[in-house]
Amino acid sequence: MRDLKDRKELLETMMLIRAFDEKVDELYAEGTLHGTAHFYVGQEAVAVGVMAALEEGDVITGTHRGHGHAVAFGLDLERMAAELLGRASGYCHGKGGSMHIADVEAGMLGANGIVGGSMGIACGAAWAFKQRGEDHVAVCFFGDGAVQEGIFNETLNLAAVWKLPVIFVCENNQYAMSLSVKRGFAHEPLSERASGYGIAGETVDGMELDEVHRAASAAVERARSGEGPTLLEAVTYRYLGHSKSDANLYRTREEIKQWRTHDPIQRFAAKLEEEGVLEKEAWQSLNEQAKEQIEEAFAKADQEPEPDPESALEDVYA
Amino acid sequence: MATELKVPTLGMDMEEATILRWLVEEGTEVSKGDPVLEIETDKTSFEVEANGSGEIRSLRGEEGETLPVGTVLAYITAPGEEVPDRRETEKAPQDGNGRGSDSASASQQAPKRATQQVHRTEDREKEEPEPAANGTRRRLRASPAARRAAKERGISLQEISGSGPGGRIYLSDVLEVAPRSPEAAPEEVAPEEVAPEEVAPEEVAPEEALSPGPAAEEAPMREKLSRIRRVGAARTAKSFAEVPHFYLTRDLEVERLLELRGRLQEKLEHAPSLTDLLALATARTLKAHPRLNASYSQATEELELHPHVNLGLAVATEDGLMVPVLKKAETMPLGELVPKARELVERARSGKITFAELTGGTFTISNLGMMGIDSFDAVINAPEAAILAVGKLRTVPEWQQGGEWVARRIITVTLSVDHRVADGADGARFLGDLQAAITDWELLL
Amino acid sequence: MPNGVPNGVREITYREAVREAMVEAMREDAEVFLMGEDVGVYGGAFGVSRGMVEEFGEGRVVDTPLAEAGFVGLGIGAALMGMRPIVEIQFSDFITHAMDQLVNQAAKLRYMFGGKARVPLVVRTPGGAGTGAAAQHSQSLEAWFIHVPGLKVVMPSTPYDAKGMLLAALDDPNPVIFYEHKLLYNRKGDVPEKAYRVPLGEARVSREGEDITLVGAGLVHRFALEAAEALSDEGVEAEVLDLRTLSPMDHEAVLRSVEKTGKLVVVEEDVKTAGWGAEVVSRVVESESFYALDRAPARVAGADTPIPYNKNLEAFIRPTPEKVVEAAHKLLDSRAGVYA
Repeated sequence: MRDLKDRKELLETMMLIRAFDEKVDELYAEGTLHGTAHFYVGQEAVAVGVMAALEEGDVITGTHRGHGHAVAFGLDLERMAAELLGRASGYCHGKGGSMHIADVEAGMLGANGIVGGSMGIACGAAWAFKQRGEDHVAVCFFGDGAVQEGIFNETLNLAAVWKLPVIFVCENNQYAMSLSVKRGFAHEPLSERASGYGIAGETVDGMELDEVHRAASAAVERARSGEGPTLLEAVTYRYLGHSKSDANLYRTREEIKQWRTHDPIQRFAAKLEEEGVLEKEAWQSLNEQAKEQIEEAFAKADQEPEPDPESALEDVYA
Repeated sequence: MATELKVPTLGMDMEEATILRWLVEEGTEVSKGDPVLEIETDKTSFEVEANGSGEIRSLRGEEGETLPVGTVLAYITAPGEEVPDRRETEKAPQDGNGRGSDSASASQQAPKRATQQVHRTEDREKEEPEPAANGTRRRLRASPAARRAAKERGISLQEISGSGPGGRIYLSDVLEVAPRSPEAAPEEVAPEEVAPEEVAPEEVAPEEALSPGPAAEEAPMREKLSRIRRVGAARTAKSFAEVPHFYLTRDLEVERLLELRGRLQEKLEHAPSLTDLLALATARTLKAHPRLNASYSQATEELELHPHVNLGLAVATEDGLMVPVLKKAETMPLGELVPKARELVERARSGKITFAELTGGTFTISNLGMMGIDSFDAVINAPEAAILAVGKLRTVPEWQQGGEWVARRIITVTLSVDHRVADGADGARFLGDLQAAITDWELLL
Repeated sequence: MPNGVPNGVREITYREAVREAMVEAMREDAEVFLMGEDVGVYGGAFGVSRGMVEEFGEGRVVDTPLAEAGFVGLGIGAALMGMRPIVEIQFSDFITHAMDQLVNQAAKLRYMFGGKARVPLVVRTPGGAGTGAAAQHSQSLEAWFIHVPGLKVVMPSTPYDAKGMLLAALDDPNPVIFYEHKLLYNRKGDVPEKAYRVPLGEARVSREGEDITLVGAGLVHRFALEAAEALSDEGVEAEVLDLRTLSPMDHEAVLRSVEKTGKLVVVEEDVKTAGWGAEVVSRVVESESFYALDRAPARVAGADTPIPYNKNLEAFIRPTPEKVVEAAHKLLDSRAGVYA
């Protein structure tokens, strides 16, 4: 698990996430990568802010837009890159790709290609902690679209009834693919749903790392102390399209531009300058370092061999 | 009106035929009399000719497929004419006229068995699988197990008659023809019964040894039966098992017969043999003994009394016993019968006999006299009612009053009779009349 | 719990056998728990878990809210963390609520994650018709899951196998869907008192014979056995195979029997179209044993309809021992057509 106690580390991690997805975007554009990918660019403060509230032994479940969660959790960049390149050395030996990167042993219980698909899994992990008397927590990341799914109701109710140590982190990035939150919900903020289950709920500015971190820490504290789950809504925005095939027909350039002015990385970098943690303009060299790290990860991964075709038949069953 | 080309019947016991080869295809223009396909029955193979002129349409039947008599194989249509709905035409009740391509002559000679034939037709309709309405050809049907067993035994499926619906071949049908696979054989031979030296592998002709494996020296030599022998085996076994035989043996005095032969040899180009003369006498005598020129029908418990004597002549050939038939033998003058009989026998021996010439027999004569046999009992050639087994010409003493004897020349004949058709007295009267006929030829006129 | 007898084998019901397996596993391993609707004080809709909450408490015999997707998902997560959950779906029809969890999650996590995850989850569920419960409480949907690599599907037909296979399923590192049949719960059979395992994926020859092979699983395996007895009175000796596990299916056992008999009838309660019997037949037909077939294989299956309520209607569309006998007759009669 990544050590995020240092505020500079938080900024660097957000930069790594962005550099990673921008590199992936570039590789798709040039045709090096196949399949599809969903980019986390713009939402970095959510993953990093929540992760900063966790401790060794805690677990997370991700989403189809999952590179950010994995990087924030501290997964190895080269193995992530190798997975996207479909190499044998990738986290899933080339069988999972973008949407299924996982390191179960470390506590990263997997990105998930099904919207809402990991909500039950997170509850199960929380159930195991509770049964075993361990004070770990499970964090379940999901998008605004998952709130529309049936399993949202089922799992929030189960977790509430059994006071499971789980934090439901709703990354409200304004769109479920093309469906805006305005069109998909009759009532906002989404965190108000928490009261219907009798659990804590809070909506925070998901572009502001410290806000996310503060709310997540409170939620984690509740969970560890046996007070049960929290529904934490982080209002954020994805800068890029839903996936590689998105032409952004459902929103305007002006809207995207507007959100970009609240960029979580720039805001946090400015804050660190103000605090004196970072020297003036030092963020630019940090950003260059992050990009170099990502370049290096992909370059190394690219040296790795393709998996043996026969391996496609392996690991269906344990 | 489209002409139906059906699987013809050329004999009253012919129920199905196997398609050997199509000589036309869908859309071929044919004239009446053109050969259309070759089919095979349990007796022989022959060509089916077009029974009309026009275009071949809606052709049905795969090579190797066995189909019941009367099955429509194709329609011959005039230009622009519609092909009739096969199901309708095939379901229509068929009478004697509808059974085969030689229907015209068949109807004139129709034996008294109309009732039975209706039964048969209905049965067939029930059992026959519905043919595809679009005239799709069907392949020969055999279960995978049957196919495997046939392959292991080196048997062609076309040589096996299936017991399943539509002649479908099951494993049991193959096992009936060849119970054991060659590999299984050695286990069943007690090794001590066969000294290895006696059957050295070198002595086994390669084509006879189906299994030249390491155990071949201990296995019996195997001979693949010709189709004629296999069919003969099945038919004789069936006849002997199902037909209640009885036998009447009588010495026929043949002094007058020999005398006649002697006279005719001087006068005729084709001098008759004793067999020829006996055949003529038998055919004509049978006219007065209809029960011995009949067939028993198990299904209807009726007799079919045949209007003509179609006299079968048993002929030993290299491939096995064949019985060419002298049609309407009772009407033949000697000058016609002798060359006809010669020709049939010759063609049977040379394998050039036609299907028609092997079918339709109503009574058979078998003569082993020339091979030194005094007398013997023959197996009835079912569904015929009787067979006459003829021994060699012998000279025997006939004791006179007072202890004197004179030499008599005789031939011992044995009449095998289907007891369901005729009784001992019927047979005895026939043999009596036959003796009278060969003694006094005027009686036959 | 039934009282023990000296030799350790008693006659108990299928229901008791399932319960005994759960109890033994939970006594042995604190990581095993049972979760489902009404499994606690109520004892489960069919009384399978009766008495268990008293021994293990509400923390391990867990009454759930009505949330099949939620608690199956929870079971997956707990299994991923190394626990060994038993999740009961009250009627197998309700498994539709949990399809995403079973098909997209439980079955695939290991593979998607490159072999670095295990989901030792057991989903117990009663299936099948014959109870007058009509279309939404009587289905046999097991064939769906044999179409999903990563899941195992078992369907024991005897109390002995029910206990042994449930314990084996709990040992198994893969998600196992464990089909019980409502009409089997009261059936009795000899069951050893001690714990034992019946391996998953192995069929059992429940009756030897030479003439025809009848393949069944679950309740209808018993129909096949009854049919075999009826056929025996006619001089036909049927070999009966209890598949026991539908996935992975023991095709070799079917092939061995077909090699012997050349005739195959599959008896299945699910609907005929794309039922699991189709898989049984296909594997024979595409194998070398195709050449052992002496008749077209037949399937005695449920009609392609929902399950109707009326008793006679229900009986009409379900397999019965009589229908199995009839199918065997059609196969055995050399003049018969293909069974439809």
